[in-house]
Amino acid sequence: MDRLIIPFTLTLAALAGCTSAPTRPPTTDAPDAAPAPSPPAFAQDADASAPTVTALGPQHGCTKIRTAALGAILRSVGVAMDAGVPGSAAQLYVTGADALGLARYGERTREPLTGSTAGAEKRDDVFVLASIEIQRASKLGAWTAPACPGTALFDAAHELTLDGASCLMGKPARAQHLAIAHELVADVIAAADPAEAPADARDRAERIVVATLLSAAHGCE
Amino acid sequence: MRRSMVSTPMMLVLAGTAACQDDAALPDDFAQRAPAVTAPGAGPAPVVPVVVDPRVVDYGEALRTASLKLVGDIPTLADVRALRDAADKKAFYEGRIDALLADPRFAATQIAWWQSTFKTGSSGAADPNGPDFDAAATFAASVVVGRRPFTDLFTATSGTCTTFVNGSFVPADCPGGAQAVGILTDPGLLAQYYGNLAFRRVRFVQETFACSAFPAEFAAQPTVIDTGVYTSPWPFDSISGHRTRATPSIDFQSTSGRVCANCHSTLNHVAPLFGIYGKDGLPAASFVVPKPGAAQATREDWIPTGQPLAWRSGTNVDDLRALGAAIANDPDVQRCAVKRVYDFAWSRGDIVDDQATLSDDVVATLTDDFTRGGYDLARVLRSVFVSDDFVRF
Repeated sequence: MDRLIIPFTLTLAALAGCTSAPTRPPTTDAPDAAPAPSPPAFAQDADASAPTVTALGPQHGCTKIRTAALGAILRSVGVAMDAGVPGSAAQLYVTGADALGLARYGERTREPLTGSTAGAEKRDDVFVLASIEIQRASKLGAWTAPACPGTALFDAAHELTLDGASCLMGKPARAQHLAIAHELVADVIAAADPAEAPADARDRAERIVVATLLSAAHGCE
Repeated sequence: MRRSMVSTPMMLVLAGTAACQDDAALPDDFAQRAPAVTAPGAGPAPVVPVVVDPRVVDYGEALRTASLKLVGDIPTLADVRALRDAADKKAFYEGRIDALLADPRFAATQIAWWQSTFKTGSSGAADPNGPDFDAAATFAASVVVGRRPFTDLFTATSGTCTTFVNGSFVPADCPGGAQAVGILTDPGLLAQYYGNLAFRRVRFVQETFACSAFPAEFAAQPTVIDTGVYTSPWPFDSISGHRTRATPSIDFQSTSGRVCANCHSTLNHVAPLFGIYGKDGLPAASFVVPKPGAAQATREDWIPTGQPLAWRSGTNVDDLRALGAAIANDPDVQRCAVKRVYDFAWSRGDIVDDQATLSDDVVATLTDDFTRGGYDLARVLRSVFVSDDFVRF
């Protein structure tokens, strides 16, 4: 695995999971217009003599992507869900269901709501295999994601498109996603073994971009 | 931080994280919203470091998570684009929530949600002669999707063994011939929770619908019994044990370890109602649940002769129908339904298993709307997903 995968994955993960609007680099993006703020749900003001601690409001949790929903996401972004293909994302998704989390109703056990380390690793392995399929199809002009018909993932200059990133994440992509993806591709190519064909290095970099976006966007429900 | 400073992979990681915390992204009233600790006469309040990032409105993120929860898939690019370009994002987002609640896929995800909540469902190859382990969850889903009162889960008298065929709910009566009492008489559920003295069934009802583990009731003042502290409002001698029977099958009045009666004072007044349902979940003419060392329990194994059956102390019931009505009327149960929806939407885990408890105050407005609005749980779902709090991340 390329030595840059992990740090770049973390970088994009941090950014993809971030919903604040960073101010640098300059962008036309802006946070959505705020509605009237609600009163803090957990404010405590009963006793004036007691210390006052006011929370900023409730926080979203991070329940894992349900295994069925993971399959739906893969299908929506154009992964062929034929588990009979060896080495495919679909096969790993099906055979890895135990690690991803399944209900065992015979034992009165629901599908886990919180993720496990093994489950997160399996999910990311599925995304890595999915990225190979998606990038290959994109390169051939044959990427057909049911959720995003007619969308190009990378443009003629091999740059990740805004719609392509939005398709993979299921939410509006920001300019920062594209900027970091661009930098990621450039760095992977620059760090490639001189013996590796430039086109192969670019393909590899694009797969890393796809896998990273999927992993960063779909770490939680 | 400028991009020119980003020279190492680790710096890139930090840059990605820092982008979430940029001061320029803070709301104008941030200083007023920051937590502060003050004490009378102590002078200016010390500055307390903010450990929680202020949240910002992000309808894109909200639509993604709502879509996953309501229909089990991410939004289409067409919806993502439309949201991005919408002049009134709030109105567009609320319209999409309404569309998701009306989406045919909502029924399937509701079935899965109730299966998860009930911890019941088909496991492996279905037994054509066995109970339908999906029926209870399917019926519950049909109540929500059909905008029927949530209380039907405890009071419906027919059509409770619902199936889901070709995208439609098909109501049917359960086998066994007895009149239904919502999901309380569902054979699959009763078979799933079959066990000694029907306690597993009572625990299921308590934890699923009252959102708390036993003990379920507490006296205003605890009392000391032998060497233990008894906390239940029931008289200590209202259940079977060494003080009420010469040779009790099980000493529910034991205080040698824990004070068993703290939980069993409630449990034992409910469990006999479920005791006539066998391993197959079907009703019999007499008690058929086992007890340790014996094939069948008797009423006196739970409570002394003359003791009433009851949902709670002071809420006596004669039969399952009355129990269903008592459960439906219990404010804790109504509040629990709202809390489960809230925890689901906010990705907080299970209120009992994961201890994702909520203050009653947090859901007070939602609960009030729920009870005034005909116990429509889909309405609560909508209210949570479109709330100003929910769309902040």
